[in-house]
Amino acid sequence: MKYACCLALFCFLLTGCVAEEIIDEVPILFIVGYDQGEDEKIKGTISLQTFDPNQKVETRAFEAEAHTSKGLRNQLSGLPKPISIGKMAVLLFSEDMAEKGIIDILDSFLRDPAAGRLIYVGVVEGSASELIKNEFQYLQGIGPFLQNLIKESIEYGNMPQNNIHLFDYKYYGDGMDPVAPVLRMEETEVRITGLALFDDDKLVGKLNLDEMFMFSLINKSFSAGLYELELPGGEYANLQKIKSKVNYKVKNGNTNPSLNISVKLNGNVVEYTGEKLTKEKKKEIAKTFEKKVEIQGVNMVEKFQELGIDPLSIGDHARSQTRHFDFEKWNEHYPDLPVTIDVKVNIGESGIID
Amino acid sequence: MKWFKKGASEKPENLEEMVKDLKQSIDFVDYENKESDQPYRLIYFASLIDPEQLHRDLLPVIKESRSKSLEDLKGILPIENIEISSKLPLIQERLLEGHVAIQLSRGQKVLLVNISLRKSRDLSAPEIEFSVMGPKEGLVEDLHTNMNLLRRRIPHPRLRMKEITIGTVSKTKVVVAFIEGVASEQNINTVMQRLEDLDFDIISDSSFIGQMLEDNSLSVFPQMIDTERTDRITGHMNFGAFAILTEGSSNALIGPINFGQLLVSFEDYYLGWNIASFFRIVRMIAILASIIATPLYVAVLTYHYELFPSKLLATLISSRSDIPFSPVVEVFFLEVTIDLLREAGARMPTKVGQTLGIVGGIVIGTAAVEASLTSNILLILVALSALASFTTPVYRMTNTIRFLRYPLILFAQLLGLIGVALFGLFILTHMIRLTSFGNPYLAPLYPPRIKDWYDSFFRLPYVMQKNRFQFFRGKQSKRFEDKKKRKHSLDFDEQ
Amino acid sequence: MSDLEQGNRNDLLISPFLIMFIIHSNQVGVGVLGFQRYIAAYAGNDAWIVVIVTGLIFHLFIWMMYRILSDGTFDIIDLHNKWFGKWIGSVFNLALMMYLLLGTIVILRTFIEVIQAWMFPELATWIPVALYLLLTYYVLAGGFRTVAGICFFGVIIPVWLVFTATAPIKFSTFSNLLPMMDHSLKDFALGTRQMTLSYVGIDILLLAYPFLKNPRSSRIWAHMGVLLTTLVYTMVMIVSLAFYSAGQLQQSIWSTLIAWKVVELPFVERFEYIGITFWCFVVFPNICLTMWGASRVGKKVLHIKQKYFVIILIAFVFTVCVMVVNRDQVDYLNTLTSIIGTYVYYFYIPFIFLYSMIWRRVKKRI
Repeated sequence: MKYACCLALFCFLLTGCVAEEIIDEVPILFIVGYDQGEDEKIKGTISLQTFDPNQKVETRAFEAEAHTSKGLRNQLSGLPKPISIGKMAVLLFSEDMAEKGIIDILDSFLRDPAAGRLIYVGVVEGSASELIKNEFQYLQGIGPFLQNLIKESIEYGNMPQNNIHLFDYKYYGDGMDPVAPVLRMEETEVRITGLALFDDDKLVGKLNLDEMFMFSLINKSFSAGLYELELPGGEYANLQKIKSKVNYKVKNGNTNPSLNISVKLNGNVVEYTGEKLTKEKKKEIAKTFEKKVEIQGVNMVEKFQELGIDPLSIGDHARSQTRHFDFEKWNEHYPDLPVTIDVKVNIGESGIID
Repeated sequence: MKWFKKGASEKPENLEEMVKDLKQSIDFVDYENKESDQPYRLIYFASLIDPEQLHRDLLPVIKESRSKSLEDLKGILPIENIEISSKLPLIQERLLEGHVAIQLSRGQKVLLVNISLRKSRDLSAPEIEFSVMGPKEGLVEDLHTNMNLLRRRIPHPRLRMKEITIGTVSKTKVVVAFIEGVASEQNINTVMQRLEDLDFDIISDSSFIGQMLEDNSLSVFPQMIDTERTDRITGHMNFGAFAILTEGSSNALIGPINFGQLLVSFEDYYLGWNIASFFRIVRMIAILASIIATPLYVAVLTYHYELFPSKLLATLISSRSDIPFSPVVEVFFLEVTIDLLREAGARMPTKVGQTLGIVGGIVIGTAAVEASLTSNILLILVALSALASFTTPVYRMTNTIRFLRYPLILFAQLLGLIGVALFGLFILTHMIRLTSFGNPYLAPLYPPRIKDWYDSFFRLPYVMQKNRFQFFRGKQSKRFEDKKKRKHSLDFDEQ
Repeated sequence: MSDLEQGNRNDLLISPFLIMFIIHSNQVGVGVLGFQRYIAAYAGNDAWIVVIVTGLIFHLFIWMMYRILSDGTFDIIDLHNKWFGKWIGSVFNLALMMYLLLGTIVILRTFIEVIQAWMFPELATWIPVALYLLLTYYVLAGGFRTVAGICFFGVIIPVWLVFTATAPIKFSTFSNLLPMMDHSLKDFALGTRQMTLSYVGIDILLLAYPFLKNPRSSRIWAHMGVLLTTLVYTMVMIVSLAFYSAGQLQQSIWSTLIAWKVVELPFVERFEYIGITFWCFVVFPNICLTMWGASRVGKKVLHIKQKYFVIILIAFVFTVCVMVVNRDQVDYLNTLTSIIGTYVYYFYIPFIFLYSMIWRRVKKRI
């Protein structure tokens, strides 16, 4: 009886002790786009979705300007309840916004326990606001669609792993710099056009799709989607299920560093425009591929060195291979670090017919 | 109850007064025959005795005998269980048990002959604990028949049955049956002691005794198993438990038990060990899910929608988008509906009950969704968890499970997942503290007795069940002797 | 001497192997959710070695404790009285009680801080504190066997969370652990000092010892308990080092919880909420054990029945917990415990150990 009384009293006192966030009453946000506003302000655009029982998604876009990203939330009047970022999927930044640095905005998401760590950060060629406001015919709404698009191009395509956590990882880590996908709005759809390169949190360059593939191959051990290879004879071979095994070797990290990247590639030929896929032809394909990766890879690293960025985490590799690693010295050496890439390609299957 | 005791204490001074007192009931007979050669007087309750036996076995003998004394008559009567007494309380008690009192001449001494009428329904298959396999033999309301059923299943001299009478009004006979040497003396002493200490007026059913014997009567968890299956009773007795049979009840009580045994269907022993183990685990998961499914629904939809992946989220939101209530109202509405259906079904005759269940389930459920009172996902969840709660093999446990859900839903509404966890901790603590006749309720899980695990979450083959449960602390721990193993195992091509 | 000598002793005792769960559950608490950055601040990528080294040191402490307790079935309260006399012994015992109470307060308040920071920012502190303390009373009222049961289930129920450690591997860089042994001895020592707070809790052995059946045979299980803790901490540390970059780890207050954010199952995302929910089960044994220990001291030194003394303790803990209002105060409490814990383990236990050795020698000669 004593217990029961205590319990009853408690329940009475407890009612309404925490704020509810009922699933269908909270405006759930999947996507935010940030553009440069007037007077150093940030222009934020969100799209809200309403679900009706027939599972059709209606999207409404809102826009506001403020100096901080949290300030934006206050500006978004006309919403029934404070918006919730618990299911935030994609953050988009316009190029001019990204060039000025985005860590302040990211920080507000990293700090908030409600936000996830698998949010994708994307850079939009053009205006992020327009991309969000544009009414595409995507069934799930633009937010979940973009989330899916980026997720699948990471899992099945040629894009390296990236999300807000990895952005933060590389931002705070020494000897590495973040990357993010670049998106472009076309009339009826959104496309991924490459990889954005950041110096800390500022956009400094971009890779196109071809370079992005090379980047993925030499960045980390990786298995990629499809790649079309041009052979010297004007023929084309299509490679699939490419698996790379990457090994970074940094010598004399503190004194006189040099880098060797060895890449072992495995791939299947699924399409070939030439006449017959003979053993010799396969060897030729492998050779061409090797050369291509080597040349493009070295060019890419040189480009990074010029820009003074390190998206391949070469500095971090050096740290892990050098005792008492000194980052200051490394930063001095980095721009003219000699880099060699050894690639070995092995062509495996070539389909079930000869 | 005081009024009654007071009334009973006004004891009649002599036999005549007692007869006069009892005559106020219409079924009481006081017949005196002075005309015949042998005068005699019969006193009995017509409603309790067997008239056929009276006329066939008793009266002719009395009439023809020329005995002068009751002692002589005792020698002639072809019936066992005859006693001569002049003690009024004993006489009254015997009369109420269906004895007939015979006098040859006026006085205080009577001859008491047992010709009570035993009316009992025929044996029938267990209705509540139905099983596809195994014997279909259930207890009935008659104590003697029940004892007979048990004795036939265990024809062993060590099967002891101890009788005790409980209830100031109902004078119910209660039998404690156990196998000596297998059951621990401590448990038997405990139960006998508690039965002797019981003081109550009327025992309508064994469950009265069950509730009064429990270690913790505040608990919602059953601390004894009610069963009508004779195979279950004898099986548990062989583990080392005792069974309490009650006159007028078709349920026996088994104790001590542990929590795991409440989740064991006796049919598990009739299936192969691997299949039985699988279904046992399925049943445990079902029961857990049944308790926490709707509280989790409330907690997650009210506080932690982030837990759902985006795709599932869309489905959930759209299913709830027209519903004007918060999840907790919705859940309470449906849970109460299900409980109402169950209650109504239980009160109705079987066939009406079935119809009611189907009609109620389909019509109310569909209508509630159509009317936007509940979401269809919740409907599925509630229906599934109701279904899961009925997989419990012990009926009283089903009620416990259904009951536990309500406070959990409340806590889920108050503190979300934390509330569920805290209430879970409360239940856990309660179960750790709970005992059944002094034996820990969560054994063999806690305190951990790994040797008893062969028949707990899963059931190993019988050859591996050499020892009785340590849990029951019996003396005779071996169930059977080891057979000699084959000296060398056959190779593949030797088979 | 020992109050367990009288009465139905055997029924109050627990099997020796349960000491494993008792020790493990008293060691692992809220600390696991965010201890990584404090260690990594000194030992960097070698932090996991520090974790193992500290684990080994605590094995040494277990060994010392068994030597201290080696004769009879006395707990530390009896031994204090025996060795230092009634007065000084009582001072020691009361200090022990305050230390245990501080443990209760720190763990309870820190966990509620986690709930407030992660789940319900508006939640008033007194509500979960009151609920937890009521539950604690219910557990303590069931005697030590119930406390041990809560420890047992407090380890068994959340054990599956170990498997969630595989999820962050997808985003991990294991070369973060290289080069190994790249830090000075001083860094290791400082890291070890920081790590001590996470391992604190084996002191409960000093009080629980007389409640064990065949206490001598429990030694192996006590070591197993510490081993289990070491494994858990090492695993968490390695995963964290690989999942975060060095700079990022220093930014993350609750590294373990943040790492749970990347777990994705078909029907559940954002695993930290489930993690915190199950942490309710991890934290509870800590509260029960320390409160139980404190009430034992009260019973044997102040001669107040546990029944009543626990209520006083609960009122005290409740008041202090409610008075701690912000994060800085919680941090202060943690630092304080860390300092006191260091002294208890690195000075008090070796001291008692040596004292007991000398005491026994002297007594033998007489």
